Amino acid sequence: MLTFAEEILLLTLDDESGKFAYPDPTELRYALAGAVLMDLALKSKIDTDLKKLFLVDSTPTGEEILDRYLSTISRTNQDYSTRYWVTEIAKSGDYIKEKALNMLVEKGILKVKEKKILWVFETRRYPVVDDKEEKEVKRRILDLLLSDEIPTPRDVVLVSLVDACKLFPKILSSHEAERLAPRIEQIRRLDLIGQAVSQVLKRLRSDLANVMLLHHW
Amino acid sequence: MNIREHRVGNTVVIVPQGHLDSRSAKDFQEKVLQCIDSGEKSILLDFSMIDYISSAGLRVVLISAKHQKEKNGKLAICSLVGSVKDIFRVSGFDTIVDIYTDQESALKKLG
Repeated sequence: MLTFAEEILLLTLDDESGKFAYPDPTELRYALAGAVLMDLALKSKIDTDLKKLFLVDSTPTGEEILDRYLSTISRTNQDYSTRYWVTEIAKSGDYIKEKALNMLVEKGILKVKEKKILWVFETRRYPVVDDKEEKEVKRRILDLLLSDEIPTPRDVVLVSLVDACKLFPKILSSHEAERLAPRIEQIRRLDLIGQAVSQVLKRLRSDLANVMLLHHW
Repeated sequence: MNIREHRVGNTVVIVPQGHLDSRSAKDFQEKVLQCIDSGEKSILLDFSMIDYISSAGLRVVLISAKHQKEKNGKLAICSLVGSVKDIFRVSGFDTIVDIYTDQESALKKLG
């Protein structure tokens, strides 16, 4: 089974070119931080309520990325809010991205393609080798949105992350996205960590808009 | 976690007590899923004695509601109080599961 960080990265990649279709790397870092917390929550390592996130079980999961942050949370003596942890973990979002991409390569889903620009700077692309996993993720999301099925906890997390990253336009047509917006909202709200990621990103976008407005004046 | 259970007509009423969090979620889930798998078509979760619920507790409600719907049965919740009521409202669980103010109105509806 893929981790949520791996699933989100698959959805942000352009299949053929292997480039990230995701517009904003900063927002991706926050979404990946949320993905890590959601995996830890579904593995019963942490739990949350409306005010805080707390440790339940510090036994390692065996997943390198998850265990790094599980260890950080378990070393903290104080309970912080979920928003605090999303912001804190997002600081090392590039590490999560690199590690998750490496895992996707190891699992044979992506391959690495090095390309030199002007023979000086190396860029790395991740073309998809096997798109079965990505299609499966998209199919799961679509099936759920088009039905009145009660989602599984994993489905809730995925919808919540895809929505936080504004990735629905990549999966749905604009007409479908508009029509299914109430259903997306219904499912998205069911996860408290997902809500925290959305709130942090909303704040970030609003701060950015204010800064741009100030510069404009 | 202390979990009481009784029957009113065709409905099984399950009354958990205390905190519904990661420590008690497993016991509660086992109890509800056992009840669903034994073929009970009408189940009411009375949360009047629950004073705290976390994400792990909410996930048990989600899994139970999904399981019961797949078995073509009914599952409802009643008597939410305090912060438990807040968390259900904020997370929009009332759009997934029927929630009633008290046991009497829930039982009337469940039949």
